[in-house]
This record gives sequence, structure tokens and C-alpha cells, in this order.
Amino acid sequence: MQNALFHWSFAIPEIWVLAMACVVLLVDVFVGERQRDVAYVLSIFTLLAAMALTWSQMGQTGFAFFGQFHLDPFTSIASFFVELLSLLVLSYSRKYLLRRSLYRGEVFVLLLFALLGALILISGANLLILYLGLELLALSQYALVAFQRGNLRATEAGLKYFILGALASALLLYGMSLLYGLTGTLDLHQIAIALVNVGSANYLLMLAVVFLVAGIAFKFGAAPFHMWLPDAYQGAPTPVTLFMSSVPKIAIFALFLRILVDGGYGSIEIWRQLFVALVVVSLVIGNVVAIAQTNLKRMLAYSTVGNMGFLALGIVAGTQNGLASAFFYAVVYAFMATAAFGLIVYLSREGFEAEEISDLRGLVRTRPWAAFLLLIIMFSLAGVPPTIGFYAKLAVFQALIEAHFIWLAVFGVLMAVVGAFYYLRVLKVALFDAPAEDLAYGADDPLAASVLTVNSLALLILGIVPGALVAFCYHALQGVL
Amino acid sequence: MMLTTTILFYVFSAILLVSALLVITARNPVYSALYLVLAFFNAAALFLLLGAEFLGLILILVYVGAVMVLFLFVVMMLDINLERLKEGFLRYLPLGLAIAIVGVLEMVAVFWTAPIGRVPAPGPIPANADNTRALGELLYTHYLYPFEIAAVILLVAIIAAIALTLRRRPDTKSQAVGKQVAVAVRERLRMVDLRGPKP
Amino acid sequence: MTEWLFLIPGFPLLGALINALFGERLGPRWCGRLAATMPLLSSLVVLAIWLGPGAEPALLDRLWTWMAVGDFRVDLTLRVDDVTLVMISIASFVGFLIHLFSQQYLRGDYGERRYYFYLNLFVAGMLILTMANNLLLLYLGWETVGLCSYALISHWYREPENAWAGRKAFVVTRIGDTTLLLGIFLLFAQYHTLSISTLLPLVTAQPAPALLLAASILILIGAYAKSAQFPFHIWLPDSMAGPSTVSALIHAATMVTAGVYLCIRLLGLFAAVPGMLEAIAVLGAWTAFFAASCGLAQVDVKRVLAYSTISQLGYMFMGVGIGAPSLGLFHLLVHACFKALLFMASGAIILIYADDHDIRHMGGLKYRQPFLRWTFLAGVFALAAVPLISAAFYSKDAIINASFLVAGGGVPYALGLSGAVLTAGYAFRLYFLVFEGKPSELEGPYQMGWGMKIPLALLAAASIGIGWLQFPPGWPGPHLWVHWLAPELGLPPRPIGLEGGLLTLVGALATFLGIALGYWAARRERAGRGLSRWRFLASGWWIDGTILRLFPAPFYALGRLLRGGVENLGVQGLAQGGLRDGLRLSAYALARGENGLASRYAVSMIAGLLLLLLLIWSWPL
Repeated sequence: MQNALFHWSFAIPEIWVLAMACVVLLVDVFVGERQRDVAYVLSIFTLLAAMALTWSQMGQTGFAFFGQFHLDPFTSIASFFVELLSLLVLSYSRKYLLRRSLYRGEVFVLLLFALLGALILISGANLLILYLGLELLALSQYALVAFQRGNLRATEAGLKYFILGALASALLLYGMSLLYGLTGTLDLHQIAIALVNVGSANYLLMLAVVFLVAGIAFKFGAAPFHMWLPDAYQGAPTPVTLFMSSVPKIAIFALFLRILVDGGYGSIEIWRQLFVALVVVSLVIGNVVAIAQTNLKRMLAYSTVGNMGFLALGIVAGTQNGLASAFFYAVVYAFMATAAFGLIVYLSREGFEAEEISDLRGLVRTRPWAAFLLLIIMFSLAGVPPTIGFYAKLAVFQALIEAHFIWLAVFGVLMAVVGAFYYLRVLKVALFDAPAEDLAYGADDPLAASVLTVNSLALLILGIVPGALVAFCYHALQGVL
Repeated sequence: MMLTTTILFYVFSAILLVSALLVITARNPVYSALYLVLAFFNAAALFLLLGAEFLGLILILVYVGAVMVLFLFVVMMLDINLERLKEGFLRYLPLGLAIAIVGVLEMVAVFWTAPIGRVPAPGPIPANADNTRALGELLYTHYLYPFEIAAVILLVAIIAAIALTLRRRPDTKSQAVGKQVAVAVRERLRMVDLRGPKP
Repeated sequence: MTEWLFLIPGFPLLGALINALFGERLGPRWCGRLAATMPLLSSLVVLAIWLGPGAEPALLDRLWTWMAVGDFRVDLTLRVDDVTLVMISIASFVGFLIHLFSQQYLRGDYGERRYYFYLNLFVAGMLILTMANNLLLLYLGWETVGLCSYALISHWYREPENAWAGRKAFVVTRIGDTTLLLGIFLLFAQYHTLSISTLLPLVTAQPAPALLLAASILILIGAYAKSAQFPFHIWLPDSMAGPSTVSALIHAATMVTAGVYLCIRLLGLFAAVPGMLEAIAVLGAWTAFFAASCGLAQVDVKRVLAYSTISQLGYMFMGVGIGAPSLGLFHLLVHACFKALLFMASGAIILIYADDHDIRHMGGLKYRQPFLRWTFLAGVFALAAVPLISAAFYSKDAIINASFLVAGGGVPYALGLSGAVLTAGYAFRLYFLVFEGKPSELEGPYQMGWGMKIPLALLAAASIGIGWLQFPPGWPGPHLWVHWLAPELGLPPRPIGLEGGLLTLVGALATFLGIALGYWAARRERAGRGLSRWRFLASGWWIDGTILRLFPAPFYALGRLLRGGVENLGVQGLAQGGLRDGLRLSAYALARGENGLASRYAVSMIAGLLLLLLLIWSWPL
């Protein structure tokens, strides 16, 4: 047997997460209602150990499973980030889940499986693997969105997400099959070699790329494939929204990177053009429609659409620098979204989701520290220096200008200005409006409070000292092209 | 030998076609389902004739054993109004016909252009050929990784389906297996005095 | 040592942070103590540099790369050379003395925590400004200083005039900030670097005359606005609205010296533009003379000192301009000592007279406050540059004398010398009016504590003795300063022999003439016929009023025009009516389009797909 080709040790973090997900599932069956903390602590431990395992792989490169698994700096770094983000999600949401009788082993297991899907996506070097990883991630998320069965809005959101997600998967799969038909292989590196002969002036390739980009755009939540996003964000329990807004963004960037850069860089002239269209539509829709929202989760959903537009600016640049800035943006956005939704989770209590913008009225009077953190988060989302959000936008715009997309950059900056409006409106409500007397926030979870503090302050401190994070993210994309 | 195979092929094919037709025309959906089972059996037999024993067995196991049985359950448990199902028949007939015609045309086009005859016939099958083994070897080496992921996806589907649909209502009667196993001898029999109070 | 440099601005910054975050729990007393500790710690680190390796060669501490985007790269690098060392010593140690003095001086005031927060931030900003090796970092410190000066001048914001004075200072210095930033932009556009140590050699190696001229004028305006040089001096007299300690900080340790420092730091840039230094010298001498003349006619004790600051800064610029930057820096140090002393002492005087600033109401203070009198007198000696026993004799007179030697130095020399007469005049006029004569009945009882006495005593000693570091050329005694700075700033022109002796004698005579003038002015003032009745001088040559009439009025007119034409019609009508409503309407329209129907969503997705297909179809291959 060709044991050497397995190299299964490269996939130890994935194997660990899978094994521990099964362990959590089993343990949860045997422990009673009272000892749910066992499953919770076990999940946290799983994530911590996974981070350690991934960290220990840093610097190794190679292929495993007959070229289907690719370990490179990007794999390690992106995996590390998604594990860290999953850890944040879990640590934010204990009280929230407890209060809504969602504190169940299945939630943790599904979360771990979704993470596993993300990890598989990140390391996939084969169209089949990428598709399976994507489905694993998506399926777990569908279930998580609809997990609150009694909640009509949640089930509706789950169903919509499921149907539309299936449609998007079909588009993606169709694109993959065309690509396979064109090149005769599923292996991305062989596809890259085969595409050299095909050239970008091939209608079949164009068709394939259009379908692939449409599928990826859906998963990113880029307009006009974003319709599911606000409903799903709003309907899902907030910790699930927290997860959806962070981990998949990095995983889907990996999907893009693997298919269209590792495999399809020969078609850059095609997908770049498509992403320009997506950027324009996303920036307009995301930033303009967000203005009309009164629900914070919905507003943040549109902000995701807009931010995916900014991320795609780096993709449009298409250079080494541009892709690195896009990855950096994805990472930064994931942490900003985590902090934003984490704040909502933290403030909520039984029967009160703290998800309307008006729920934050006069937050500074009742919860000054939370209001301060909100200030940092919103400034970072709006891209105000010295927060890290500013730096992420700066990097993207710089790469774009370097690639001579001046007008697109100008357009992006203008849309960032429009975007600043609705972020600042949240701050206006929280800092300057009189607090309502009937509002009582939950805000009694010390774990979530400390994690939120660290997360938000990191947005500020990393903005002042961004060097290490930038170097880390840019190192991930080293040698991709 | 060759002749037997040919005869068997035509027999199975004929039954397959007839039962497939009956699936559509049967008035009772239970009959339709049973005819479909018959069709599957014959298709499996055709696979066996071709030497693809793995596919044949899988077809019976999965489609007959699992899918169709489930289908039958659903058909029998749900109260389906046959008359109402029939109502739409004429309304959707033109659409159905159009789709059928397109399908036929497509097949004609494929056969017209397909390189039939130009493809060399497959060589003789070695005597000890065992495609179950061959598939298994491939599946557990080269395709181990996607195979495992697919398994995980199925697991997630199971967990999700159970988590989303299983509801524990306190008023439903159900077996408590744990209690059954853990029962003590003394609890198995309870003496009840039926004589009632003395007058 | 270099890796500890960040502690110098770090301590006050930390103090400000702690005060901002936890000040409420600490209480005002501890806020003050904490705030005072921080500059002390900074000055200990500075002391360690003095005692340890020194700053030769320059110490560099690269903290981190703040941002690196393309060729735009900002390294947060702190650089300490000998010039910087002088500046940070002043900022941290004099800053500490002012903090110490504030403990008693400001007790029970409203907004003590706010005061100490800004005080710490002020010192931190100044330290960042002086230690920055990068123009952007320098600008950060520059802005911090500007912001803090605004906040501190309007510290007693409940009286509208104080808030107005703060705004005036802010607006005037803002003009300079903006031109400074434009100058930095120009330099970056040409040389693609913001690092000062890389920039200056580039400027000499690849001169671009037109651009350098524009950049240096823009930067010079920035320096003038910050250092209150003519005609940007108008904010300084009004900035007396703040507490006296704040004035001391602004005038001595931090803000106004920033402009002089910037000029010394970027000397290579100004030297590369022909005629620039000569212009600086003439303008500096003119400011020195002009402000000194105004000082003679002021009746507010703090306004006298304010004009004196403008005048003294003029001497420093003159020193830089005539090619004696080391003497300019020397005078900066001397001035920091005696001006901090004078302002803090004047703060005490004002308290004694129950918040009355008018020197005509004062008199005979020497009987009840001997300590205050002697320390104040030391400051007045230094200000007037009394020969031999005051520090400014060795710094200011050296500048004036050196200017006589340089080509084209006649005008600066004449202006500087007459300025020196006037300086001694207003200094002693102030002293005679406040401390001599009959005790005023307005005087109240006031007991200074040790926290106030120690800073005054230390600064008084420095005002007398610090000049002995550098005796006039040819004299016996130490000549430490100029030679120590020579590797960085070069040697100034040094009058020696008979010429030197004569010049020194003329300078001394000027001082004594000034003292006589001061005595005469004080007597006339007592008699009610003083120079303060001369409106021309009292109003500062009507410059403040003229500027306020000349510039704001057209500005307001322009504003009204813009409001009528652009704002009401354009912005209100088109942008607000059109853009805002358009945005809002389209937002609602788009939001309504997403009505929650999954089938509609699917259709829109397919439409999006078709759009992409269309796009790729229409795209030329």
C-alpha cells in the first residue's frame, strides 16, 4: 500500500476535531441535564487543543491523502483563526444558550462539525473535497439556524437558508462539473496546469467561472446573492449568527482561494471582471440598505454584505498583495463581527434579545463599559483610525490602487463614507439618547464580559500595533501565486 | 452460455419495462410502489448479468431495502386522496408531453452523434474479477478522505434531523429501556389483594 | 538604554490613561499625586540617559512599524540626540515641577481630574513631539499638544471668555497645524519618506528649490503659529484665561517651544532654501522688539508675561536664523526655567490679590511675602538679563552679540538690542509695581506650602545659575554648552577680543537703561499717567483687533454666502433633498424588495447569475 501518500499526520487537527465531536456527542447522551457543562467544557477543551495542534503544524508544508489535502502556511494560519473564532463563539454564548434551553450537546456538536467543514475547506486541494467540506459546513449551519424549533422566525430562516443554500450549492457544483469537463481532473493543481493550455478566451471556461463565482458569492453573502443573509442573521439565535458571521467568512475565502487562485488563476481575467460587478452591487446594497434597518442584527447583516464588497476589492486587485489584503480583511472582519454580535449576546437576557437598535438607547448611562466597547467596535467597522478596521480598509485600497483600479477605489471610499453613517447612528443612540426606563440588560456573564473586553480592545490595540497580525496574514498568502 | 445470457437479458428487460409502465398506470400508489420494487429487482439482475455484482446488490439493498420500504410506509400512513391526485392529470398533460418530447429528442440527438461502434468493446473480464473488492480498495485508499467526509455529512444529517424533529412530550407513553433493564426481581411481580374489604 | 526610551513619553501617557479610566475611583487628591509622579518618572529616565551613555551618537528606539502600505511607511521610532535630550529634560522636569506646584495651587478646583488628565497628556504629547524621528509621529505629538492647550486654556469653561480664549488659541494654531501638514505632504511627495533622519540628507543631496521653498514656508507658518510669532501671536495673550500653572506649562515646558524645536530639528531643510534663515532672523528680531514694546503697556500681570514669552521666543528664532541654533536652544532652556518660575509666582500673586490681575492695584508685596519676592526677583533678573548674575545674560545677550557678526545682521542686532532695553523695562516695571511701594490694602493672607515653595526655589536657582554653563567667549569659566552641541548644531559666531568686550558692555548698558526705564514707567503708572494709557501699545499695536477685523469678517461673509448659495440651495436642496432622501428612499425601496419570500430570493439569485453571464458575454475577449 502507498502508506506514504496518506500523510495522515498532516490532518491531525481535523481528525482531533472529528473524534472529539463524536466524544462530545456520546458524553452528552450519558450525562444528565444538570451536567451539561461537561459537554461545554469538553468542547472548549477540544478547540483549545485544536489550536495547539494547528500551531504546532505551523511551518510544515506538503500534501496528504493523495494530493487531496494541502498543508501550507495558509492552511495553518486560516485554520488557527477559525478555531480561535469558534472558541470565541462558544465562550460568548453560554448564558444565552442556558437561558433559552439551547444549552444542549447537539449545539456544541454541530458547531464542532461546522468547524470541521471549515477546516476541510481550508485545506482542500480537490474539487470534490471542497464541495464536501462546504456541504458539511452548510448543513451544520442550516440545522443550527433552525435549532430553536418553537421559534417560528428561526425555522423560517433555517428553511430559507436551506433552500437557497441548496440552490447555490447546485450552481457551484455545476461550475465544478464544467471545470472538470474542461480539464478532466478534480485535482486543483492539475487543473491549474491544464488551464494554461485552455487560455481564458474559452466560453466553456467562462461559463464554469460564472457559476463558480455565483456560488462563492452566495456563500460570502455578496450582492445580488445576499438575500438569505438578513433573514438568516435575524432569525437565528444570536450565537449562531455570531458563528455564521465569522468562521464561514474565512472558510469561504479559502474556498475562493483554492478554486479560483490555486486552480483557476489562469482565468483571473474572467473572475476579476465578475468580482468588479459583485463589488459595485454589494457596496451599494450593503451600505445603502443598512441605513433603513432598525434591527441591529439585520443592520449588521447588510454591513456584512458591504464588508464582503470591501473584501472583494482585494480580490479584484488579484495581485499577491491584493489577495493578502483580502485575507487580512476577512480575518479582521471576522473578529469585528464576533465582537459586534458578542455584544448583542452579552446584553441579552430571557425574553429580550437586545437586537433592536433602540434597545441600546442610553447604553452609556446604564452600562458605560459596554458602551465604550460598542464605540470601539463601531469605529472599527466604520474604518475609523486607529482601529484595526481602518487598517484593513487601507490595505485593501492600497492594493487596489497598486493594481490601477483607481475609480473602483474612489467608489469604495465613497461607500465607506455612506457606511459610516449607520454605524455612527448606533453610537448616537447608545451614547446620546436618553436611556429608556424599561430596559434591563442581561450582561451578567463574567466569561462573556471578559472575552468581549479582550476582543474589542484587541480591535483597538491591533490598530495601533498592527505589525504582527499583518505579517501573519500576509505570510499566509506567501507563495500562493 | 451466451444464449442463456441473451435469453435472460431479454426476460429481465421485458419484465423491467412492463413493471415500469405499470408503476405509472397503476391506480393504487401501493401497487405503483410494489411495481417499482419489481423494476428495481430486474435492473439489479441486469447489473449482475453484466458482471457488476456490487452495483446490483447495492441497488437491492438501498433502493429496495431502504428507500422503497420507507416510501411504502409513507404512502400507507398518509391518507392520500387518489381522486384529487388524478384531477391535475389532464391539466399538466401538455407540459408533461412537451418535456417527454424534449427528452426523446435529446436522446435521439445523443445517439445520432454518439460514437457508438467507434468505442472499442471492453476486453474480456478476468475470471477472478471482483468489483466489490476493487471498489473497496479504491474507496479506502485513494478516496478515503472524501469517503470519510461524506460519512460525517451523513452523521450530521442524522443528528440534525433528530435534533430538529424529536420532541419529548411528557404525555406520550414510551418504553424506558434503562428502567426495564435495571428492574429488580422484587419489582417484577406485585401481589395485589383483589378480595376487597370484608363486608 | 535605547529600549527604555519609550518609557519617557509612556509614563505620562499611562498617567493620563489611568486618570481617564479610573480617576473617579482615585479621587482628586490621588489623581494629582499620580499625575505628578509620572513626569517625575520620565525625568528619572532622562536623568539615566544623562548619567549613562549620553546621547552621542543619537539613541534610536524603533518601537514598531505603525503602518506600511506601499512606499508609505510609518515607523514609530523614537530618537534622542543632544538637542532632544535638552528638550525632554525641560519637558519632563519642568513639567514635573509644575505638576508639583499644582497640587496645592489647584486644590478644591472644579475638574481637577480633567486638569490632571490633560496635564499628563500635554507632557506626553510634547515628549512624543520632541522624540519623534518621523514627521507623522511628530505631527501626532503636535496635535496632541494643540488639543491639550485648548482644553487647558478653557479649563474654567463656565466663564464664556475662557472658553472663547481656548477656541481662539485652537483656531490660530490650527492654521499652523494645517500648513505644517501640507508641508509634510509636500516633502513626502518629493522624497517618499517621513523619517527625519532619512529626509534631511536627501534634502541636501537632491534639492528641489521650488518645492523646498513652499514646504519650508508652510512648515515655518506651522512653527510660528505654535510658537506665537508675529503675526500669529494673537492667541497667546488671551490664553492667560487658563490657570497660571497651565500658562507656565504652555510657556515654559511644552507648547510654544515646539516651534523653535521644529526649526532646529529641520534646520537642514531651512538652510537648503536661500534667504530663509535670514528671513527667520529678521522676523524673530522684529517679534522680539515688537512684543517687548507691548509688554511695557500691559496692566494684567499675566499679559505682561505673555508678551514677554512672545518676545523671548523671537530671540530664540533669531538665534536659529543667524546660525546660532545652539544659543537659541540655550536660551530656550534658560527661558523655560525663569518663565515657569514667573508664571507660577504670578499665580500665587493673583491668589493673594483674590483673583485680581491688575498690577496697578498691587504693591509692597515684599513685606508680607519675602520668599515670593526673592524668587520672583530672580526670575525678573533673568528676564531682564542682568549682567553676570542672571542666566539670560549668557544666552540672550550672546544671541544679540552673535547677530552683530553675521552678514546682514545689522537689522536683527538693532532690533534685538532695543528689544533688550524694553525687556528690562517691562520686567522691572512689573517688579516695582508689584513688590515695591506701599502695601496695597487689597492684599489677602496666603501661605505657600512646601509643594509650591520647592519648585519656585529650584527654578529661581536655575534662573540665576544655569547660565554659568556657557560663559561669553574669551572669558574665563566653563564653555560647556556650545561645544557640547557643536557636532550637531555647529559653532555659532563668537565675538572675541575687543569687539566681544564692547558688545557685552553695550548689552549690559542696555539692561541698565531698561531698568531705569522700568523704574520710570512704574512711577508714572502709580501716578496714573502710565504707558498703559497709550492705547497703541496696550492693544499690541492694534494687531489683534486688525486681524480680528480683517480675517474673520470676510470669512463670515463667505460663510453667509456659502450658507445662502451652496448650503441652502445646493446641499440642502440637492444633496440633502436629493442625496439623503434618495439614499433613504432607495434604502427603503431595496429593503422592501427583500420581502421574505424565498422564491423571490431564488429568482433574484438567478437574475444575478444571468447578470454575470451577460457581463462576461458582453466583455470583449
